[in-house]
Order: sequence, then structure tokens, then C-alpha cells
Amino acid sequence: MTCPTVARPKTPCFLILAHDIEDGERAARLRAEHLDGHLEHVEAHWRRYVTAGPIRKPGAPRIIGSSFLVLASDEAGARALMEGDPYFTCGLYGRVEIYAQTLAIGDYLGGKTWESAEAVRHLAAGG
Amino acid sequence: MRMILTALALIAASAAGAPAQPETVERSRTVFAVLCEDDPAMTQIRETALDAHLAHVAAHVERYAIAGPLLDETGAMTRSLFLIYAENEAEARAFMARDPYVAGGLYAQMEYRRFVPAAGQWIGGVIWDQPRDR
Repeated sequence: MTCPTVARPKTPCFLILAHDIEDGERAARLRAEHLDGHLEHVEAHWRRYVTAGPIRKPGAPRIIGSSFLVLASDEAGARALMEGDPYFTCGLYGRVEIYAQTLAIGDYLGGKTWESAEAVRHLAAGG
Repeated sequence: MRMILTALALIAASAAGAPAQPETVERSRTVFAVLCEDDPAMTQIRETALDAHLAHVAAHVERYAIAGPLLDETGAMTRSLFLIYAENEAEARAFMARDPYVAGGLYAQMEYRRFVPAAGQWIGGVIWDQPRDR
């Protein structure tokens, strides 16, 4: 299968990994109590997410956190979107990680974003 | 094809001035999120194995929903995220092991998580039914 080269997304993307608090019973209760508000928030802003959803350890049924790939002009914008989500304000998450995410390849993009290895070699080298 | 049709439908709806309500879409394939953290002593692998890594990823593009590096506050690549399609964790691990970055020892840590794509542009909506009055 030939992999097409596609344009790089114009809007920056941020990966937000939100880890539930250690107290699993309390986390499950908070997820249930604030589900309606959380879904309403995500629906209202659904175009801001590349994708978002719960995460589990493989083979285990319990949700242990959430992963969000958010489109925002900067980190503050990504954080502002998250702060409107009831799951972020109700104490569900004990630890939140945020990273600048390069969307490089995948069927979401419809191909790869690099023309050649030479074009991105300086980035891989830390430049 | 479903995603293309969904995207076209969304563009058409947008052009018609319809509100940007998400569609409810069906779940499809099993997705694993693989979050990889570079070994600080092995970062040269990003450069030395770059050609092989890019060739591998491009050759198996159908296995990735989204993949790419994560940047630290200085803009340096220090992690990678792969959202891959796999039937189970063993298959996901076996596939990832073939990536030259993995085989070369770039990553000190790789966390595998089942990820449910529940909302967003990739799936073209949300996976839960929505009340009509919302």
C-alpha cells in the first residue's frame, strides 16, 4: 500500500493524559455523577478534539483515565478547553500530563506529513 | 470510506448553515494507545534509525489511526504516541516490536492502554446517543 503525503495540520495539537485518582471507587462515582455534564461539554466542542476517550489497562475492565487530543492555538487554549469539562473540575483526575503532539501519520490524516526523511531529519536530531 | 462520507456530510451540513452538532457514530476497531518515553541515553536512535522508522511506519500506515512525536517545552522530541489498530495487547506489542525505533532501543518505557475513541473529528462525531433536545 502506497502511503500518500498530506499537508501538515495547521492547528497545533496537544495530548492531554488525565489519570484518575487512586481511589477507584471514588473515581467511578465521580465519573457517574458528572457524566451528563462531561458528555455535554465534549459534544458542544467536539470539533476541538481529534479524538478523545477513556483508557484502560489492556484486558482490564476498569477505566483508569482519559486521553484527549485537542486542537488549540497554544497550550493555554488547550488547558482552557479542559477547564470547562466537569471531569476536570470535579476532582476525578489525580494527575494530568500535557504534551505538544505532532500529528505525523495515520488514517485520521489520510497519510503521512513528511515529504522525505531529509525534510524531518533536523527535527529528529533535536533541532 | 465511512470517514470520507462522514466528512463530506459534515462539509455539506456546514455549507447549508446547519448547526455543528456531532453525529452519533458506531464503534469500529480495537485501538491501543502506546505512549513511549525516550531513553535519554539512546536519543541518537531518532536520527540514526529515522529512515528505517519512517519507511516502516509509511509501509504500515493502515495500522495507525494517529502517530507522531511529542515535544517537550524546548521543542525537542522526547516521547512518541501511537494509536494503533490491534486485536489484542499481544498483537499490538508484536507489531510495535518491528518498528526500528523500538528494536533499536530508543524507548526506555512503553505504556500500552486500551483506548476507546469516543468523540472527535477522527471518528466524525460521538459514539453515544444524544438526547434530541440537547
